[in-house]
Amino acid sequence: MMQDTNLKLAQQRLLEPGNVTVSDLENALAQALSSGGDFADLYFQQSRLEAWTLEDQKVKSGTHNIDQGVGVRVNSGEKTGFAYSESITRQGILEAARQARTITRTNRGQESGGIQVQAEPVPRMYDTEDVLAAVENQHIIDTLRRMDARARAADSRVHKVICSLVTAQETMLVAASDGTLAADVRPMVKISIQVVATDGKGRTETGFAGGGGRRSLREILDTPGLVDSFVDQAVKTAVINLKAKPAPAGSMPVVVGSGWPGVLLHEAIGHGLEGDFNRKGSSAFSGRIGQRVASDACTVIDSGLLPGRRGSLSVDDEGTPAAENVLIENGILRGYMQDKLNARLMGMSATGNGRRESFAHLPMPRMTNTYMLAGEHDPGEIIASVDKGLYAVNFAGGQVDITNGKFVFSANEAYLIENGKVTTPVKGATLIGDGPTVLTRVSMVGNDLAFDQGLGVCGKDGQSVPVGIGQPTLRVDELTVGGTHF
Amino acid sequence: MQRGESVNQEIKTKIENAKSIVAEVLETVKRLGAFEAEVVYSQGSGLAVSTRGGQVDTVERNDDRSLAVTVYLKKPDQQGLSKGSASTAVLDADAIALSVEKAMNIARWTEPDPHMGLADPSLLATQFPDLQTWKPQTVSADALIQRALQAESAARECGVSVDNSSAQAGEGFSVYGNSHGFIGHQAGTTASASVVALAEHDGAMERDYWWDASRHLAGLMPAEDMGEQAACRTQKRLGAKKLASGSYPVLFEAPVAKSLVGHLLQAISGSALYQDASFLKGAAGQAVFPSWLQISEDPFVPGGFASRHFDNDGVQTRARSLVSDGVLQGYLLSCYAARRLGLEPTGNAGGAHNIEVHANAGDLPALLKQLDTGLLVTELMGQGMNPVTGDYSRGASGFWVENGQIQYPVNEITVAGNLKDMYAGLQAVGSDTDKRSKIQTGSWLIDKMAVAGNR
Repeated sequence: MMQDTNLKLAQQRLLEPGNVTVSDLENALAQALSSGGDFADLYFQQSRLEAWTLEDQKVKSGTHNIDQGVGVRVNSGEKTGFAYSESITRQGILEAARQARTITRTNRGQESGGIQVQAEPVPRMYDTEDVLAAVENQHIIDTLRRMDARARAADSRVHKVICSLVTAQETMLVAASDGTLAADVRPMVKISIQVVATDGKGRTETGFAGGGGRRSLREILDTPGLVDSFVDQAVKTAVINLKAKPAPAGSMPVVVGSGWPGVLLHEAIGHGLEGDFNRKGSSAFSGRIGQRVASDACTVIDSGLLPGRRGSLSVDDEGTPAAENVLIENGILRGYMQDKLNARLMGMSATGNGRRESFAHLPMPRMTNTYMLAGEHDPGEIIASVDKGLYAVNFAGGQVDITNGKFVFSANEAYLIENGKVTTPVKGATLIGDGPTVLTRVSMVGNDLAFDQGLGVCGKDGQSVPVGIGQPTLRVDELTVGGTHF
Repeated sequence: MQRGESVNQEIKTKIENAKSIVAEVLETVKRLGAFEAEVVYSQGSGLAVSTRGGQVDTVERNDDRSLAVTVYLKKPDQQGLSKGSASTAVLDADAIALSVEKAMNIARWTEPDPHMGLADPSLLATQFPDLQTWKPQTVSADALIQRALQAESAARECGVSVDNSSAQAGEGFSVYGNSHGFIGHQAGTTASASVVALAEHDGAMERDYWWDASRHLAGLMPAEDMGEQAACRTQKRLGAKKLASGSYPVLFEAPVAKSLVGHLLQAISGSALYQDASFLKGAAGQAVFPSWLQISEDPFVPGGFASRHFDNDGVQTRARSLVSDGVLQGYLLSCYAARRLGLEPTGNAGGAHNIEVHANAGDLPALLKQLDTGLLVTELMGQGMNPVTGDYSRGASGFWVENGQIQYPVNEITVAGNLKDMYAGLQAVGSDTDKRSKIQTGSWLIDKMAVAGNR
């Protein structure tokens, strides 16, 4: 019954200050459904965040943020009514419930008394230690200074360094008319560094790296070499780009590196497999379950259960336990990612992917940690297989048009492959492809599955949530590379 | 109510309450030993609806408040001030007290910076003309739903399906006060609507949309026109091809040309300059564009999307020419950035105000004629712009144009170049000005870019 701790903490932090009890929640749910509707939920959340920034070799700014409130949602068929309140009191909840249920005013239903909510035991994915208070300010400041010093010592061409360290803790509790009562206490840590390097001949370049996740700050700071590796990565990207040549333009074989380049999966297929788009038939993957969407070598998973990762959850924001979901198995599309609304309307099961940015936003199907299983090829063998192409190892981010399936992702560290060898570094370039066909062109999958370091943020309909990605080295036989050199 | 917009009584009361909270927090931090301090209170509320399949999809109410406090401490034997800040969306006495304590505590740990601190009192705003950003409007879910349904049905009548039709309206204000005794507010109303349409041909789907924004619902384009526009844009995208890679002139349609102006504003912002993260570092006084180009900034446009009396430092805003005869006239500077760069603040803490790029050419058909043979870009994807170097590479879709006539839609291509070259190679700015946001420009014709396709 490890979940008990979360529930107890959540009640203490969210409900008790306003003298709200679980039976008040049951009553508010009944009120929310009093003029009809199939489903209602109350989402309570408190978040606290602290951030420190080093610039010009000094820790010159820090900030602390508090946010808190309750969101009330009422579903009636495909309709959703939503309102929220920053006041977690009986009155605040009822007022939000009254506003949310106006959606149902035209189809009067029956008085829905007798809603009972009950917590189920769920394994906890992370420590409930207060991540904001766990490490002394002095230790944080020293860490940022050490990062700065390491970057400057690594290469004399580094002349600007900005480092930041963010800790956040979110406490949530959700109660729903389907009987759900669940809570979670979620830590988040993010350490990042940006360096600007100049060659003294008028050329300036930048490099960015970092990491973190739902882990304790102490554990990250105590992992030997971890923070140093962020610094080294940022310096390496900046310095390499100082000698980068114009990137090639046109279609060519592309070897996509392991780890963060998994943004390819996130954009190319991840969004297209979210339940809402498929219910509405607006995804290029709509109605394609059971069909081939990738080569045999590709198996793609979305899992909220990976310890410490940014996208990991004990329960999602609707109280559904996080799960491991197979999206593509040996090239065949197996399933979508669902929240409760879209699962109900499609006659499927919720998959633990109902997520929301905050109490002030509606939940939607979202990815957690999306990754491809390792294959059998040595990464060196994959590179050696390409006569002329691109080796892209680091990316800034991407975007997808889920309807026509076209997606982009922008490389910020890439090299030419010539005669099976990695040669010249080339400038950043956008790569563009077609989601439903790109994975059918994956001819080799590496044996080097790696995950991102923990910086991923996914945006959808104006809502941002933290996500993780992972991927082994892949060979894509043809992708369009948006360089300037023909 | 001198310092700000003319607004109705209800909002006046809210603003007065906010001002007393701001004044109280300023007094508290002074008492706790802050050398200087500034406080922002903002509040907004609104109603948003969406429809789909002739039915209501969502009705969302929002109501947000937040308070942000920044304190500056002067420590013995140290040059400059140390800064700490905190914000809270919970506005009870406990949360405000905790935020004040956190901001003070953070400032005890941060290191001093000689450039830190409030604006010089002589720069603070003293002129508060009515900017007409507050347009009284009656907002009801029914009226918004009606509008969204009308737009949706107009789109469907054109033979497309509708993914989403939405309408929203809201209002909000913010109060800024600092320990120099300045306290002022800015208030505004908003309204916007959009239609996202889907069309299918030979098993291939396309999606496009149209939207509008205004200071009030009555200022939006008619719902039927919006639906038709969304439908028409979506249908035109069907049957897209890729393109042979090559170097072509590129015409950026006004809604996407705005992003090229956005990159300019980012590059001339103070923080990008002092962080050495701008491809336009030191470009003030230089010809960045051809000599016919004029770009102006006017914070006093009546009802403008970014009309403001004072910036985030409380500094009086000014109308000015940003680019004159192609020459960059200056930067966008907060007090802090200005001190670091050894320049004067420009009233741009928080960003640019209303920006207008002046046209030198006719409407879109005239620009297509001038393009002759090349690419018309109507959508851009991804974040492929390097602010340090100006290197530009983004996913695109649009239309292939020959002899000034649109031939067929294209997608899954990229357009690439360097923003410095793109700006210098600007051939024309159309009169088809997109007026839906703070950046107002017509379409941009650029002489030559690298286009990557599948051949």
